[in-house]
Amino acid sequence: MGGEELRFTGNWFIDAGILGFVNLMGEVYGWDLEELQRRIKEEPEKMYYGYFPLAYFYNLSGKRDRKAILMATKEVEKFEGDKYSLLEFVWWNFITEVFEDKWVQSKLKQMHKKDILDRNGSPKPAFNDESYVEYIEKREKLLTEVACDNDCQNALRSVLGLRKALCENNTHKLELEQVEQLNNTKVMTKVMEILPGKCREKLQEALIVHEELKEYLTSQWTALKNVLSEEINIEGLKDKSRYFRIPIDSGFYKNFMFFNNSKGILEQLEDLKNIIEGNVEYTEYLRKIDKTLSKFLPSDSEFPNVHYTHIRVEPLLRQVPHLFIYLLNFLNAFTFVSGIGNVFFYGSTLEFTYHVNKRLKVLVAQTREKQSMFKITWQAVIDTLIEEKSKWSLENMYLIQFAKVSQQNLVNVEYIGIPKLHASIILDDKIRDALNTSLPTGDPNIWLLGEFIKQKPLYPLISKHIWNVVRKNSSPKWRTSLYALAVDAKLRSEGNSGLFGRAFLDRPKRAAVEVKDFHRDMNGVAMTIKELSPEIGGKNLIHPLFSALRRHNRNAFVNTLLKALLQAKSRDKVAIINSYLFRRVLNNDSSWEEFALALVIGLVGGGGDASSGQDIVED
Amino acid sequence: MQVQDRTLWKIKSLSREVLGRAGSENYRQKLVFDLLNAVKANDQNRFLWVLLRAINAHSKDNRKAKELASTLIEVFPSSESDFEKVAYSVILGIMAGGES
Repeated sequence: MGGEELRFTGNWFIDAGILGFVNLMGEVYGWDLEELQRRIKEEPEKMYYGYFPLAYFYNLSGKRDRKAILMATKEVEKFEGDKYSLLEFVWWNFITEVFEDKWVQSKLKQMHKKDILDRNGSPKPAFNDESYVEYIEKREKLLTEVACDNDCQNALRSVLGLRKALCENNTHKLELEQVEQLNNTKVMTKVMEILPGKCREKLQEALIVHEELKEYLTSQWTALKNVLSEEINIEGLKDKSRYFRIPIDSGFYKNFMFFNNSKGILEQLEDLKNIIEGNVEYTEYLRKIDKTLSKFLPSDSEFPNVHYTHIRVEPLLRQVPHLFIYLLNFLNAFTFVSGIGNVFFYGSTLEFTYHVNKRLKVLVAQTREKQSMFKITWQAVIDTLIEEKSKWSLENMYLIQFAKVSQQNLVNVEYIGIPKLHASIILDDKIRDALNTSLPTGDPNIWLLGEFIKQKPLYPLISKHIWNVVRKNSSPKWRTSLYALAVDAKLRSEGNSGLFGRAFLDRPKRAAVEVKDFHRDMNGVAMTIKELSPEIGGKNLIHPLFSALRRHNRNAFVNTLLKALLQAKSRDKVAIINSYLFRRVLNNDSSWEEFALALVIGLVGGGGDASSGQDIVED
Repeated sequence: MQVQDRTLWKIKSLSREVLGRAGSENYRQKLVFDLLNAVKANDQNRFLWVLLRAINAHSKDNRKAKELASTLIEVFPSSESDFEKVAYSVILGIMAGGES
């Protein structure tokens, strides 16, 4: 049976999980979204019961040795058998393999027998192996004899460069790291040179025991592969399940399912199987979705009425069969940015979100200077729009970031979204291109698109820019300025339409069309007044018109301009301007200033000494 | 009550027909100039006085002139912002008169 291709659900934390899943598979196997979708379609069971578990645990192991992955991929590809056998095959052959170092280290680092015994003096379940306990005891005894001898302790401290005492209450205080250091040949030679004779042998013996313990542990772990060939009896392994626990831990998932410290290797496998299956009967944890699974959600028991009723998983699973796989991958959707935290861009489709986040990662890695996350994200969005050449919908975009997880709580969480109207305007190549520029305003330059996305009005910035141009006798950014004014005029005209106004109900394309209409009108009249400027003494008009605009005085603006126009000889051009004044300035209370400033731009861009006209580029 | 866009269109169109071609170019320029000064000073009386005098001078057998006068009666006296709109509609109408 073919699998269903991945697509967003509309719920952001499930979608973050889906993207996290895509990211994980991409990172571990090098598959892009397309390849992953193809494989899910062709061989869903291999994907969810073979490739996914390995990738997930490989990622948790922190290991970066790709040999195991390459070999596993080949084996999974040719595997023939049912999905459960595949899961067990991957678990005992490859997942255990990637955790070998971690597991061995977790056992080796226990330096004292008392730490691995419970109150009654029996080994704790995680260390319940007779030979292991014996090795730990033997190593501890020898190391104590060396470290608790004053002469030897001083020699050890000087070689290891330590200040702290290496013996307390007649027990050594050496840690695994230092024992490994002593095991190094170079250090060993030096130690033997300065260590008093009475301790040399004991230290050597301790290191031999340490090595033997390491070998013992490695052979024990490697033998787990034989579970499948039934050389190791699963029943026999039950007592040792906690001893062989796969050492995983997560600050985010804390005690969820196989992350829980009380789960042994067999229970972890069972948990994994039921998670993949989405078996809600297995445990209470799989029946609900709450803070246990996602720190972005409230606790089910503490806040039972937040969602009117408990969120139960069963109906969700009918829509999203592999829900838990995605939820487990939630964190993989986030990109870590130093100084900011974990960031995830969320758009309306998987493809778009995938590409933007991928680009975001690259940009974050490339950027050395501390730019704002806002700018980097938008750069990624815009780059994706340009590269993909697709009509991605920019509606409902969010940037979700959290600094860290502390005490099972998220620190500094932010959701940044932009309104539908703004998004629909950015979608238009021409408008976006015009606004995506840095505008000199006298102070530092301003990234106009950024200001627009932040929902700041653009009129004051264009006004500043034009004033700056007038003062410095430079050239205005004509196209950018006019588009910015057109956009601002459009937004102002939508200003008071309420939540369900035209902006909400109209199809997004409409907004861009209107902006372009405004721009066409503004551009036409600005060109006309530019041509007329010598006839009406345009240069001398700039200051009084600017002054009227600053005082928001429409009367003064129109009056000054009309008086000047009376002197013009080109009646057809005057007619164009008059018509514009009547339609866009007089009969327009909400955005007359934007349209009026367009006239000033025409004068600045053309009249007298105020412009060289070099920067005037038109569509 | 705000003056409706439709009324302003009507005033502009009637002004154009009644005064757009009245007298010489110089006459019309002088008229517009006087009207502009009245709007600038927000002097409704002065504006109406200048305007009605001009309409009167060119109203002989002119049905449109009467229509313009009666439309103006509906909107005057008006608030400052409405006056501005009405006055400039008249002025823009006169200035548009030279067009064919």
